[in-house]
Amino acid sequence: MLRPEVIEGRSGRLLSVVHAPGAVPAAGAIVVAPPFAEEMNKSRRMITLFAQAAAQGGFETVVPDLTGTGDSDGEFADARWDDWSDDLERVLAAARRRTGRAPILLAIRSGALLASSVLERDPYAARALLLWAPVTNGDRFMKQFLRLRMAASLSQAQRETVADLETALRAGAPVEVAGYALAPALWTAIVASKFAPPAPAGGGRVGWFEVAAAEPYELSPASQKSAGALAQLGWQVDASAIGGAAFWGTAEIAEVPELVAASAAALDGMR
Amino acid sequence: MSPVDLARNILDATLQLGGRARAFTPETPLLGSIPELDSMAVVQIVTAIEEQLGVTVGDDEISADTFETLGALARFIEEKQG
Repeated sequence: MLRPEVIEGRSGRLLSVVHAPGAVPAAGAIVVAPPFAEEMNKSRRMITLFAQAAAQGGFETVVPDLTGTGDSDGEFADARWDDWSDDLERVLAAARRRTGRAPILLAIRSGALLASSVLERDPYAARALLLWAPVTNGDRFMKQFLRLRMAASLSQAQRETVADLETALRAGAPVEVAGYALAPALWTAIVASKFAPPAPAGGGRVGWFEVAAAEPYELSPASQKSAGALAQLGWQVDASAIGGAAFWGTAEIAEVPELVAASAAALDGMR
Repeated sequence: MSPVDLARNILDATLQLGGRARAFTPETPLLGSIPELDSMAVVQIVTAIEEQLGVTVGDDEISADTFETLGALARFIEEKQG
């Protein structure tokens, strides 16, 4: 069952879609920390598949459109990182009021950076984390994003490099990448962000899922390090790599059913 | 896994070729011949190589030549494997 939910953000209306289970009240809420730009559009199919599986387990899944994206107010070019963490906090708080417990955060790609910044401000904002191919380093992520524009000029004589684009952004000029106007302020904030949540306030379970394109299906060295750091802080981390398409970036909408199944199974330990 | 096999696997998973890449030989042309191989896919492939091998690929290392044939991509992977 789908229903829209509108809450007030600090600079306009925030629209979320709530996938609700048939049974009321829900066993709890899962709030999606969305990935960046086109990656969100590519991820919607997987989010829906997951939400349907979660609903069978009695959970509701809240999929917000952050300020300047989807059906929420604002323009992407004006969106700021602070707005987005504030959006996520508000959506988490609304879900908490509705279900009576801190929600589970499903952070997808750079949504992990956003989740990290929300937890830094309030470690009680979420009770558990599900991570899908989390971005742990904002600088590397932005370089990969800027590469999209470079790749478009691959066959041309005048090639733009990522370094050229970074110079433009540093000088305060917005850069358009794959149809998205990247504002210098947003770029600066993402470059500075790292996935480094504080120690868990509650039980603190983490289901960390990476998607590997080719065998061997192993966690990348960077993820192993970050997952290890979380465990040191007291999070109960269960990390694994699943073979499948990088659905957030494939040309056609892709599905990784094993990721949906593994995530739904992880929910059982988060009840 | 040989660089050619790794290149096939990464191509197949990234472009969702459904196993078509298994039939690719080192001479199989890529850029301009496989419609799925657009700029987004090029970035995905480079990222997949970085993550699979735990290496960083610099701007100046990515060129159209790298994506000309399967063999060229495999050579690139081999160089990055060091």
